[in-house]
Formats: sequence, C-alpha cells, structure tokens
Amino acid sequence: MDVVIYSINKIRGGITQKILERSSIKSILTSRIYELKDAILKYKPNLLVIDSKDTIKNEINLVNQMVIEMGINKVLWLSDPFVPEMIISEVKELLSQEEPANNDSMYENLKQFLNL
Amino acid sequence: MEISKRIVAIVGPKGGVGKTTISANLAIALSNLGKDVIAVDLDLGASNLHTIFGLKQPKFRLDDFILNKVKSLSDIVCETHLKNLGIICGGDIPGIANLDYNKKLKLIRNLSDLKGDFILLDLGAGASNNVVDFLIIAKEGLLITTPEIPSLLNVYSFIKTMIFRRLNLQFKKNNAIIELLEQAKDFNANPHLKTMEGFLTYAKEIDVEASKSIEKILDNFKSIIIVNRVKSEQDANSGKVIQNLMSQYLNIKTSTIRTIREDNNVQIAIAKMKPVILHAPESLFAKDMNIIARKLL
Ligand SMILES: Nc1ncnc2c1ncn2[C@@H]1O[C@H](COP(=O)(O)OP(=O)(O)O)[C@@H](O)[C@H]1O
Ligand SMILES: [Mg+2]
Repeated sequence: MDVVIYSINKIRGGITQKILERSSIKSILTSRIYELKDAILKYKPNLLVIDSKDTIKNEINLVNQMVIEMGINKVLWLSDPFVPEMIISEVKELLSQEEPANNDSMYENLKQFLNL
Repeated sequence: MEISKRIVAIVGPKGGVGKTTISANLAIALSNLGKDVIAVDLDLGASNLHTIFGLKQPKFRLDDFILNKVKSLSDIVCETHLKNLGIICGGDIPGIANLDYNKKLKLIRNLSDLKGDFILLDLGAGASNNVVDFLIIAKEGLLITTPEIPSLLNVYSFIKTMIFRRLNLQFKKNNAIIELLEQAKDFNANPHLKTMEGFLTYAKEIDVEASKSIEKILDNFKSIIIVNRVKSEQDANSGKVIQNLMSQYLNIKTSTIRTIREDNNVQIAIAKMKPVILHAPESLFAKDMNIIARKLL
C-alpha cells in the first residue's frame, strides 16, 4: 500500500482515492482517527494524504501527533480548493522524493563535520 | 544554598533555536506546578525574555545590578502576573556581553543566592566563557537544538568546550592533567585522546585521584537534550545522534531527550505579547512544555 488517505468527507475522500487509482497508486481510505491509526500500523504507507476540511482543530492536532509518533515522513495536507489534478501531481512528487537521511548517516555526517 | 533549589541553564549555542521561548514558558509551566521560579535573562548581548512576558518597560534590569545601582540580584526581580514567578530582565548597556571577571563572579555568587525552587538561566548564543561558565555553575543544562545539522554540531561542540573548561578550572594546579587536556584538544596529533575514555585511561596513569574526580564530574553533569521545532519522527530522532556522540566521545551517559513540536501558535502568541503556554494552553507547544516541566520535578 503506497498511500493512506484520511478524510471525514466521504465524497472528497472517494474522489482522491479514484484519481490515485487512475495513476495506479494503491491507497486506502479512512474517515476515523482510529481507522487511520490502524491503517498506518498495518500498511506502513509511504505517504499520508490528510484532508483537513471539516476536521476540527483538535483532530488535526491528534493527527499531527500521530504522524510524528508513528514516524511518517511524508504528509500531504488537503483543504480548499480541492483540485484533483493538483493532488495527483503532488502525490507523485512526494512519492518520488528520496527518503530523508536516516539516523545512522546523520551520525556519520556529524562525525565527519566534527572530525571525530 | 537550599538543597531543594535547582539552577537550570537553558543552552543553545546556535541563535534562534528557541532558548528564550522555552525559558519563559518552562518558567510558567513550573510555576503552574506550584514551584517558586525565577527566570533570569542572561543573554547579555541580545536580551528579550521580558518581551515574551509583554513587559515593555521593565522596572529593573540586569544593568542596575552590573552598574552597582542595587546591592543584590534579588533587588531586581520583576513581578509577573503569576504569583510564584519572577523574572530578571536583561540589560541593554553596550559592551555588557564582555562582562569582566569580577563582575561575573559577583553575578554568579548572587545567582546562587537567589531564593526559589528553580532558577532558570536564559543564556546567549555562542560558546564564549560568558556563556559556558553559567552552565558550569548551573550544574544542570537544557541543551536546546533544532533538528538541523548546524545546530546539532553547535550543541556537541558547546558541551565539549564546557567539559574542557570545567576540567581546566578544576585542575588549574595539576600540571600533568592540564598538559593532557592541552594534548586532547589537538586530537589529530593525539588520536589516543580522541575519546574521553582514552583521555581517562591516560589520566589514570598520571593521577588516579584526578581521573576518578573527572569521572565523577562527567557522571554528575545532568543534561536534557531538547529537540525543538520537530516536524517528524526523523526530526525527533536527531536528539539521539547528539546523545550518542556525547556518550561515545565525551563519556556523558546521563543525558535524556525531550522534544517540542513545531507550532505556529508560538508566533501568534509573540505577536500578542503573551507567553504561548498562557495564550494557547491546549497547543502542541504547551503540551510538550508541560511534559518537560513535569519530568523536570
Ligand atoms: N516550537 C516552535 N514552533 C514554532 N516556532 C518556534 C518554536 N520555538 C521557537 N520558535 C520561534 O523561533 C524563533 C526564535 O526563538 P527564540 O526563543 O527567540 O530563540 P533563541 O532565544 O534561541 O534565540 C522565535 O520566532 C520563535 O517564535
Ligand atoms: Mg534568546
């Protein structure tokens, strides 16, 4: 699974999933925080697409926290205007980006800088 | 000095990593937990702690103490709207950043005499003696960094500078150890002294007592690495990198890591001249700050 989508709006969520599917990007759609959490645990997606429209601030904070705690590096936040073409191009862009350097290489980098 | 009192230095050798924001809000969080707190603006070059509290024209400033207008530091503690929180506002005399030795000693003595459960020192950037020495007297440090490499590098270098200065002060009269410290500074020429472990091995051969007290100094240095402005798990993990470096090369095994998330409520609160923890008590920043305060008790 490449992408997990979170949207409490079934229509917007559904459209997002469809346009990803058209580009052969597999995704799963969730509309509750606990579903989102389960999906992240189960599929370890490369990218989360979070639709913040109609989502209350508390929920956004919760999602934010989860993203950090669960180690998701790539998140695309959607709000208005809802433009499917833009979503697909941003998703592709994010999925093609290299993973950020991991801890070990950061450690090695710092050691080199410090001449250790 | 009362046993219960703790002086905590807020250190962040890179500018703009959040020292002042954290000092102010941690002070509030601790006072909310019922502690008597004084936050002291020791950023001698660019003081701004009072602005976070919305104090436009502080009644007293550190200048008043430095210029001997008052007898003791406790005379210039400004009240805040919180009952058990006082602040000492920074000075704005040009050249104050180059505090001379005697003035610094007097300041240090007065800091130790302040009354309270927690004395928080908001320090300036850089790793000059005027910054490093305050961490040495505090004995506890919150090392503030952002997840970026330049800041992480600065934190490590700062701690190393601090340890070396601490040891130099301690062993002023011990020529053999001073000599070894000198050699360790150039570890390309002396690779056997690259790690503190190596240093201790050689120190032990010269002077067993000294090496024991060095170990004790390292064990007693309490530090909390705070990674501020965290946006991802990856960011949060950057604290471990510093922790590993400190453990591996400086034999400091006692550090812990905390994180504070990026939160635009911080900017919003600054614009309102109100500490973010009061302005947005439910914000991510406030939550993380409260956790840090609770764990500090
Ligand atoms: N967790 C955070 N989220 C967002 N902005 C932050 C955070 N921490 C600090 N900042 C911002 O960073 C800037 C520098 O902070 P400051 O506390 O003045 O740093 P320092 O005292 O280390 O120079 C300020 O504009 C502050 O609003
Ligand atoms: Mg500052």
